[in-house]
Amino acid sequence: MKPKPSMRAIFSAILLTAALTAGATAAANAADREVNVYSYRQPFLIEPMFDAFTAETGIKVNAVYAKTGMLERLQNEGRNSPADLVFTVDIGRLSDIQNAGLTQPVESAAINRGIPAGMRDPHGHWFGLTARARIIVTSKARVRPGEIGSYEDLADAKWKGRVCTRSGKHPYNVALFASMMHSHGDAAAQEWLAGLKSNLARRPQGNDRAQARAIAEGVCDVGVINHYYLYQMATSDKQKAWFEAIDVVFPNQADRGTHMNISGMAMTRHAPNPDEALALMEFLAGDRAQEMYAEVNGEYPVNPRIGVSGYLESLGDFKRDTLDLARVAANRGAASKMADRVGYND
Amino acid sequence: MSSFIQRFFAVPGTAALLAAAFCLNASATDLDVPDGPVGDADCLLYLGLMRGHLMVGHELFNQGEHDAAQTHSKHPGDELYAVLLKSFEERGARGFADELSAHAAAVESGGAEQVRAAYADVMDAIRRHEQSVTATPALVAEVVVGLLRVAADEYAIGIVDGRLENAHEYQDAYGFTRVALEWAGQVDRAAFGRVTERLLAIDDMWPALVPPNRVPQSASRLYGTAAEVEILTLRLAGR
Repeated sequence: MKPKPSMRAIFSAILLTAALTAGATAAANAADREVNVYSYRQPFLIEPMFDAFTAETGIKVNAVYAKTGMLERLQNEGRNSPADLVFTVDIGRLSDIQNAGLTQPVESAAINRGIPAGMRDPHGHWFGLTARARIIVTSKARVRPGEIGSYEDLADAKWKGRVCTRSGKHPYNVALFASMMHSHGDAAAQEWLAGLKSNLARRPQGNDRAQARAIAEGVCDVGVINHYYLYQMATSDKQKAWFEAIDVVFPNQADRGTHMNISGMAMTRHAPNPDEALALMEFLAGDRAQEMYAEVNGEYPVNPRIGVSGYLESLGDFKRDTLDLARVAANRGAASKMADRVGYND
Repeated sequence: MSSFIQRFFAVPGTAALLAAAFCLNASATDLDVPDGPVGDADCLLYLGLMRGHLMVGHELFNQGEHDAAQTHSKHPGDELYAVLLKSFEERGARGFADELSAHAAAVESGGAEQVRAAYADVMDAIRRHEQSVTATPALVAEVVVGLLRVAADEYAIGIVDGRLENAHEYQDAYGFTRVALEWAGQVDRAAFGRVTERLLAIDDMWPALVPPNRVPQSASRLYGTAAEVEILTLRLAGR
């Protein structure tokens, strides 16, 4: 005769069955969970992080990539938009989306632990994920080390006809100009910008790497670019010569530090999957994703706990301007008008 | 009022598509005339827009709305055919300008039998040109999204804050969405079943082909649907 199972055994069996069922349900639920992302960032810069997130959580990331028109698209889609998160570069684009009423505030201690206050909106509407330094590059052949050390130096008459930049209306430059307005006041910043304009070797044109190319080709001796282009040029057969022709200057090490901008994220106002979106945001602000950002796209992690290695380490440590980027965002409109007043692109 | 979207299922289904490729490069949604021939997806998009115009015009004609039918019948030739002209020329393919003209003339004359025959001819001509491009699910997805986005742009002009502002644009949007639905229905259901469901779900945006003065709808539903379809089809091979 078979012994009757004890109550303990029966209860254990019930618990085990419940646990297995819950696990299967969770797995099935996770399989149904997804988050929809609109991104200005290129796939290769962000998909590794999405894949890692999905592997860890089971939540699928549906990413739509665009080069332009994200704000208009979100406006058109309105409350019918399937977008949960937007990813962009530059504080300007993040603040534009916020100012258009297309974001919602996010409160998360986990995110805030990973992202310093100066690199996120004080009300939680956007968060920086990586930081990029706006550096000065100089001709190795024609500029002595230490001959230029600050953004303010760019307006020095000694550089007349020797400076190249991209358009003064490009968001990267507008943010820099906005930071100058904050540091010096409107009048002095405009005077500076007029001085820089008078030093240009040619009309502002091309992208950041085009300025390095211009230096390599002898068109000018000084340029302004984002730091991560250094690595891109150094590892490109075609552009390596440009990289090898330039020296790197992290401006303003003697005072406020180098101007920093961010790539970042925001939760959309009508996000249909807010829980999943928050999970992705917290993952991206966390240590693992921040380490991946540094490795994958050569940008500085915003998470203060994360060190840098490889190429970023070789650039050395430098003082960063800790100006609150929300202030930079607030000055952008005025900075753009300032560029118009001095006829920067003329 | 029976569903306009569902009525299309009663129309004889289009034959499987083949045709001579004559496509190369352009912008899918701004409808500017490109400098050169257009690519596969844009080619199918423009052909789909033409079919949408003609479909709507035909339904309006059958409802006795002859003036509106004339307007719609002229649009493919006036607005869209030029986009493909260079592609036809490049490949030595015979276009269908004659069929378009004959149809427009038939609608203007008002003879029902003449219109019916001309409509069949021009639609057949367009469908022959649609056969070329191997219509992979990924390509169809791109075309469907493109059609929906143009439809949304038109609807946004047609209905503003729930008020009818432009019946013609409202009708265009209906036609383009019908073509999108037709395309979705021709692809494997496993890949496009959910897409078809999304498109059927917005049927109520067109309570009637001749709209009332108030249509409590918003183009954001169409824009949102286009975005949903884009996301649903993200993982199709080739995208």
